Amino acid sequence: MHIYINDTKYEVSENDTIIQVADRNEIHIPRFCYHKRLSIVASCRMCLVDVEGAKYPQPACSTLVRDGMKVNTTNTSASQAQKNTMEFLLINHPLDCPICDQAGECELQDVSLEHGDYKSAYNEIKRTVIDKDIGDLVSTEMTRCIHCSRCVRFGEEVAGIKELGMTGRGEETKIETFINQGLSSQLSGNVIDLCPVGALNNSLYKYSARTWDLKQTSSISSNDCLGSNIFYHTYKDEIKRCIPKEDEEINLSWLSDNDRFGYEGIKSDDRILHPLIRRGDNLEKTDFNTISDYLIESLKLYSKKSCGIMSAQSSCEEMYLFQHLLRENNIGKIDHRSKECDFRYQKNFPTIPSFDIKLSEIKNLDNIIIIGTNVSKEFPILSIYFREAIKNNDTSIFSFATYEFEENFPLKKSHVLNSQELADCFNTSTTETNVDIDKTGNNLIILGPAISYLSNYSNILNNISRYAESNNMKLSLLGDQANTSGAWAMGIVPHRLPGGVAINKTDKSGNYELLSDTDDLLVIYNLEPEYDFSDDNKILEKLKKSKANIFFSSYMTESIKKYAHIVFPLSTQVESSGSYINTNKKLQQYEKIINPLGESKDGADILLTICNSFDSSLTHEGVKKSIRAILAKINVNNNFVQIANLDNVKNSNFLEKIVIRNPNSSNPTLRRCNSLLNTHDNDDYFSIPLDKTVSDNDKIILNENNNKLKLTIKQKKHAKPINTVLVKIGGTHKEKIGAYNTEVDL
Amino acid sequence: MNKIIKFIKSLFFLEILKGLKITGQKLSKEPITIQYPEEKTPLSSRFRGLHALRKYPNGEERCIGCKLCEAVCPALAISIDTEERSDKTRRTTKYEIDLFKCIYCGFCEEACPVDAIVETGIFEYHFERRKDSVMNKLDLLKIGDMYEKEELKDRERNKL
Repeated sequence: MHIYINDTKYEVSENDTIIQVADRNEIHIPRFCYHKRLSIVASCRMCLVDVEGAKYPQPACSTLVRDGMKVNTTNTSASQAQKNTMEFLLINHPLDCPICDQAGECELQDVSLEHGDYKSAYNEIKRTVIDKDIGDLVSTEMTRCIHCSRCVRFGEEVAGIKELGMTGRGEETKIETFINQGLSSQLSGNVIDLCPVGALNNSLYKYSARTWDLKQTSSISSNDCLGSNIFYHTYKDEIKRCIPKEDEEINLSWLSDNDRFGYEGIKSDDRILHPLIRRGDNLEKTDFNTISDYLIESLKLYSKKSCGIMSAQSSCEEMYLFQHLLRENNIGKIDHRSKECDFRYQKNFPTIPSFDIKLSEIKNLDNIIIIGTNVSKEFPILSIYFREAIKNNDTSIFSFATYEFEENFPLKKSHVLNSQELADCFNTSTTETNVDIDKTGNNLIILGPAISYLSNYSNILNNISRYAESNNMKLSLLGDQANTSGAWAMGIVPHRLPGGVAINKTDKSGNYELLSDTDDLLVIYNLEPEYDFSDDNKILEKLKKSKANIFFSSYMTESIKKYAHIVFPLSTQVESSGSYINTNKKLQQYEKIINPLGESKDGADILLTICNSFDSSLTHEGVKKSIRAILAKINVNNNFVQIANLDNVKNSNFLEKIVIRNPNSSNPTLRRCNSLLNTHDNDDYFSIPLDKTVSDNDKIILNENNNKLKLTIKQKKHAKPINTVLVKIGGTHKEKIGAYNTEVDL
Repeated sequence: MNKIIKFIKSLFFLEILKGLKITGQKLSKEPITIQYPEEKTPLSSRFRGLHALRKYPNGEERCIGCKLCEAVCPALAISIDTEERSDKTRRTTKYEIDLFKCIYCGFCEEACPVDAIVETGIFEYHFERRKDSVMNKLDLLKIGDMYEKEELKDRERNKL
């Protein structure tokens, strides 16, 4: 089948529309309401083209191709139709291009340059619409709206939350949120890209630069393990905004709000700008040589009595060098699982945990069981794939979690269970699970990161793996940071070298403890003790007791100020280059976007300089090569983790506490993005079992491990799961919250 | 032959007499020399001299920070930073013109959608320090205040 566009012959397939053929062959047809990932409404009439045989020009977006069809996009008939459409659109569109942020990349501006007259024939009063306050992330200028309804369709079809809608008719038509609500979807930022004019704008970018001044650099998102492809736009060495880079394997044309607005924190006042060393009670400025020497000396001095804990947000290069530095000094206790407390599973864990199937294959699944993650909040991009699966294949999705939440896709069934129930409900040896699914189908189990913080993680993992294997299902493990898969592959675990090579040691994995009393030296890399550890009481206690605390950090916190002996100023991800391994085991490189603030330095540079002091053969290129070689060698068939002779750690009669920190602030930079936190980090509550009472409605007092904890949280609920005190708090909650999962008394 | 004509011309000082004829004619006429700096030549209303930023009669600055002058400037002499002011309008935080780079082409004036940046009739100015050649926003607004009357007069004259 073929058609002619402007007298050139093009091959087409049956269900193509004219605009799809034109886009494929780079023939420009102006459009406002058409978007390739949204449904077709043909409401703007901008894409009218001349079709031979048709009486009037036809909309290219909704006209299906016929064999031998002759289309002309530029002749008088087509261009006159486009000119008329544009003239009507401009009747009510303000002429404020000089202050509009869309100017320079505005489709309406381009078309009016092409077809427009320099004088308006319209002398009547233009329509004005009052702006709406729809949150801190998206600012509005509703007079500019041309009613293309892309944002409305995006909410209905992609984000799954109908937040924006069209009210009124004719001249009274308005885009509004229902009952003056703000946008709350984790994908809300995408309406900024979708808006073809300047009606919906990026609040952080507003009025700070012009589009023609911006320099575009591609990068990889550092906020979740999917590794979305993004473009940063910079001007005068400052990041002005972030937009998605099309990637058919990962983020399609979309971006989560965390990725889009997650750069705000890098300019925080907390940034550490100089190397620091402790003199008395204060940290004082010093130079890199002094603290590097201090580090090497301490590593030699405390050697086996040391512990290195690294954030899984670090790049593969940093990880490789970090473990190299520590292992060369006989330090084997290296870990990235700072939020976990149950490590009995580690020997059987896959060399590289991953999402077992390609994201594009999700749409072919029959059943999906999601355990312990609020997908639309933690992995918004993934939720788009789930919506597609439901639409495409009528996929049934089941959710098992420790707390109640809403998803932006329909769940067949959702269960709120405590940690013991979670382990039991997939225990194939005892009872049949509550999931009634067709086990012959194409099924997938997804295990979210929050499950790994539970104190019976190994039991849950074991039971689920057995369940999945016996029912021929696939198991996917989602990491809590951008490079969790990389951390496992690069040997940031105590029992494995890079590439998953097991270290032959007497088996102590049964009672491995991350922070044990024997550790005298702590090296903490890019983690904040207040927020990033499974028990904040314990780590602060440990920092007080240990003889030397060495921090690599981008941001200053109270505990670093108090306990650090030396601090290396790290540059943030956008200020350094490196690579991440995403959840599909794809190695993705990113480059430096802007220069580091102050004297802060790329972690890989700092570590390489230190490593070179005893091993001069290491180079950046060499490290990169090793990483590629390591990844190429790794061969993992499935994610099943089966552990023999596993004890059940929980006694179901006790009251347990489960802490859920808001996933919108999972790393130090996100915790400093104020606009993002204002929008997405505000649903704190604690819930107690139905049969328990507390005296105060916004205060909860807990006894755990001989500590008394007092938490002030705005909302109280009586809710499931049974025997559980659930504490759901914002990522930057200032009070101490104790262990993530432990036994407590009310 | 040529040699002979040349000889006769130089013998009777013909060339000098020709020159003296013009001198003699001008002797009786008004001199056009101007006693600068006491006297000055008249300027065109479209003269392109030192830059100024204008304000509205109510004191509000005209410039909206659209950066069109920066974009059009062929010498890259203008540099602007903008932000959202507390009243939610787009305003500049920095507006600088490097007068050493400027070639006084007047494109900035033409690009401006709100007639904020103008080139006044001032052509006598000097700098005592190197960095003085960069005019900042305050300087430009001050000049705008001083020369608003002249500017309005020029605009009146420019009307067709």
